[in-house]
Amino acid sequence: MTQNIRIHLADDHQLIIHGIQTLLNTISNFEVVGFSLNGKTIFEDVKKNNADILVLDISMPEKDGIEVVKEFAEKGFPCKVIILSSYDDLKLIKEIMDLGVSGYLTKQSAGNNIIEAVYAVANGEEYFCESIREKIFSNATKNNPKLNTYKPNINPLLTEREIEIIILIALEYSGKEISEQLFISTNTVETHRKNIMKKLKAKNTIGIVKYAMNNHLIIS
Amino acid sequence: MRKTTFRLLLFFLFLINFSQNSFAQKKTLSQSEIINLLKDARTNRITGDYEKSLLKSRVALEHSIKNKSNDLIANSYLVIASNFDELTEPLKALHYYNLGLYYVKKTNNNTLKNQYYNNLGNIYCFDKRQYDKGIYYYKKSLEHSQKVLDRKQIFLTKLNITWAYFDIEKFKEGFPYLEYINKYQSIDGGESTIVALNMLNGMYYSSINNIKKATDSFEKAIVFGTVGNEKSDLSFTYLEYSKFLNKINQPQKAYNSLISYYKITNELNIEEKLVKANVIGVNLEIDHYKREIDKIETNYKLKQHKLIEEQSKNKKIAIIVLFLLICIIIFFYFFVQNIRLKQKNRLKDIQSRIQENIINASINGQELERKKIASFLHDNISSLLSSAGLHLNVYTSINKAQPQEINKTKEILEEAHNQIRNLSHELMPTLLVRFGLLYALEDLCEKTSNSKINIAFNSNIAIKKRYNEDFEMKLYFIIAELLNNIIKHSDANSANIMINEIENILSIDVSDDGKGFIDNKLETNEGFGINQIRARINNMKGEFSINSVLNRGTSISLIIPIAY
Repeated sequence: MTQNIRIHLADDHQLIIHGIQTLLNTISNFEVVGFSLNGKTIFEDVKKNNADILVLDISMPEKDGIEVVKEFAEKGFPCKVIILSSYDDLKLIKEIMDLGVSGYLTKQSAGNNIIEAVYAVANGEEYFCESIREKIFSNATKNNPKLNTYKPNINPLLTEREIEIIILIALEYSGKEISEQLFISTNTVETHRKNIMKKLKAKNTIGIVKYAMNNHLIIS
Repeated sequence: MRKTTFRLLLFFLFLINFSQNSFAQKKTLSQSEIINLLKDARTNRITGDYEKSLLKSRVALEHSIKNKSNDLIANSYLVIASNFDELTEPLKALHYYNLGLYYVKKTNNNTLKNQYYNNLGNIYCFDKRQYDKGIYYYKKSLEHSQKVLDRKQIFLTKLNITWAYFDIEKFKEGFPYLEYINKYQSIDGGESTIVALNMLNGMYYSSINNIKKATDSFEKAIVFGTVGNEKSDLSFTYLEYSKFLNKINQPQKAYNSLISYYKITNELNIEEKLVKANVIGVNLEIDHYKREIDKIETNYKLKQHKLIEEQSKNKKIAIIVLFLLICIIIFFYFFVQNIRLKQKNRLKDIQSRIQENIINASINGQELERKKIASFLHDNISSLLSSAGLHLNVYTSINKAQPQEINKTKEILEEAHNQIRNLSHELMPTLLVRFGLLYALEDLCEKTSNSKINIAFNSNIAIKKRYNEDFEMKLYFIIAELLNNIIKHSDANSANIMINEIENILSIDVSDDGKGFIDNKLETNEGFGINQIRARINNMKGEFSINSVLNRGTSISLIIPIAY
C-alpha cells in the first residue's frame, strides 16, 4: 500500500483523541489529518481535509455522533465512518449501521482493534470489534436449538466471521436474513460466501452446509 | 212614691242576694275550716241531726273538691255515707262509699281507709248479704287498722269477720278470728261486744256439737244482752239460740227463743221507723241532694277534664318541642362530626400529599443523581479508561513487546470499563436517551424475556416517538419497576405491556398471568414499591389502578397526561 490512509478523529475528550492519534501514528501509512471536539463542524472539517476515514464518538455535546451520521446520510458520505463509542447496545448499533456506517468499535476494544478496523474499512469491508460481533452472532442464533455451542478445531484459513456465516447458512438463513442479523450489507454477505467456498473448495452452498455438519458446527 | 220605694227595696234585696251569691261562689273555705265543718257534721250525725249533718257535709265536700284535697273529699263522702247508713238507706250509703273510695285510695290515711272498708264490709254482710265481698272488705280494713295499730278497730273487725264466716257456716275459716276475740275481749272489747262474742261462741260450739258449752255461751249472751240492753245483738242471739235448740231437738225452748227474737226485732223496727219519720223531710230532699252532689262532682270533673285536655295539649307541644330539640341536637351532632371528619380527611390528605411530595422529591433527586452519575461515568470515567488503554497499546506497539504486567493492566482496565459501562447503562439506558421511551421499553421487554417468562410489547405509537426527557425517564423506570415486580414475585409465564396514545394521554397496561395477590398485601418493601409508583403517578397527574385476581394474574393500568 503506497497511499497513506487519512484519518479524522471526533471525540469530545481530548485525552481519547490524543490516545488514538498516538496509537494510529505507530502505523506508518496511517495519517491523522485532523480532529473535532464536537459534532457541529465535522462535515466541513472532513470535507476540508479530505479524510478517508472518520473515527466518530457518539456522545458529544451540542451535536452527537448519530446526528453527524444522519447529516452524512443526507448530504452524502464524504468519507467512511467508524464509530468508536462505549455504547454496545445492539439496537443502537443497528440503527447506526443502517444509516451507512462502516465499522463499530467499543471503546474497551479500541486499543486492540482500532488499527485492524481502519485497515478493514479502508479495504471496503464492514468491521465490528470482536465483542460486538459475538453479541450480534449470539443474538442472531438466539434460541436456535440446532446451534452447537461447542467449537471444534476447524479449517484455520477461516476467519471468525466466516465461521459465523457458515453456521448461519447451515441454519438455513437466507443471504438477506444474514445481512440483517449481522448488520452487514448483502454484498458483504455474498463476498464472505464466495471467500468461504474458495477456502473450503466447495462448489456451491450445499458444500458449505455439509462442511458445517461434518464439523459439528450445528447439530444435525 | 210608695211604688218607687218598693222598687228600690226590691232592687237592694236583689243586689244583696246577688252579692251574697257571688260571694259564696267565690270564697273557698280553708282546709281547717272544712275540718271544723266536718267535725260539726259528725256531731250532728251522732246526735241524730241527720239533716244538718248532710247539709254541712255537702258544703264541706264542695269546698274539699275545690281544695283538691283527697283526704277531705273522702272524709266528706264518709260523713254523707254514714248518715245514710244511720238512716238505713244502705244502697245510697253504698253509692257514696264507692264515690269516696276513689279518693281514699289516693291518700295514705290508714284510719280513713280502715273506716271505709269496715263500713263497706258491714253493708255487704248485713244489708246485701254478699258475705264474700263483705269479708274481702273486712280483711282490707284489717290491713289498714293493723298498720295504725288501732287495737279496738282490729278487735271489732275480727269480730265482724268471725260473724260473717259463721253466718255462711264457714266455722273453720272463722275459728282463728274467734280465738283472737276471745283472747282480747277483756282488753279491747266491752259491753257492746260481749253479747256478740258469746253468741259467736255458742254458734261455734253448736257447730262442733258441744251442747253444754254452746248452751252456756248462748245463755251468757242472753244475760249480757238483756242487762246491757243490746237489743240488736240480743235479737240475733235469740235467733241463733233458737236454731241451736231446734237442732238439739228442743222445739219448745226453740219456739220461746224465736218469740223473743221477733219481739225484740219488732221493737227495733219501731225505733227505726221513728228515726225515719224524724228525717222524713230529709228523705224528701235526698234525691235533690244527690243531684246537687253529682252536680258538684260533674262540674269538677268537667273542669278537671278541661285541665287534663289542656295538660295533654301542653304535653303534646312539649313533646313536639322536645322532638325538634332532639332533632336539632342530632343534626348538630352530625354536622360537627361531618366537619371533624372533613378536617380529619383534609389533614390525612395533606399528610399523604406531603408524603407523596417527599417520595417524589426523593425520587426526583434520585433520578437527577442517576442521570448525573450515568453521564459522568459514561462521558468521563469511561473516556479516561479507554484513553489509558490506548496509551498502553501505544506503548506495546512502539516497543514491540508484550510485557505480562502491561497485558494484565490492559485486562483490568477493560474489566473496569465493562463494569462502568454496565453500571452506567443500568442507571440510564442508552436507548432511552437516544431513541426514547417506546424504543427502550421494547428493548427492555426483549432483553427481560427468557425461557421462564415471555414479555410482549404492544403499542400504537411510532417506535421512535419522543416525549419530554423527564417524562420518558419517569415512565420508563415506573414500568421497569412493574416488570421487575412481575419477574420477582408473580411466577408468571407471560406478561404484556401495552402502550397507546389517545388524545394527549398515554394509556399503559401492564399485565401478567401470575399468581396475583389479595389487595393491600402488595410487596411494598421491594425496590420502588407500589406506594412510590402511586406517588409518582399522582405527581404526574395520572391515574393508577390495580386489578388482581388470585391465581389468575394482575393487571395494572396507568393513565397519564403526556408531557412533551
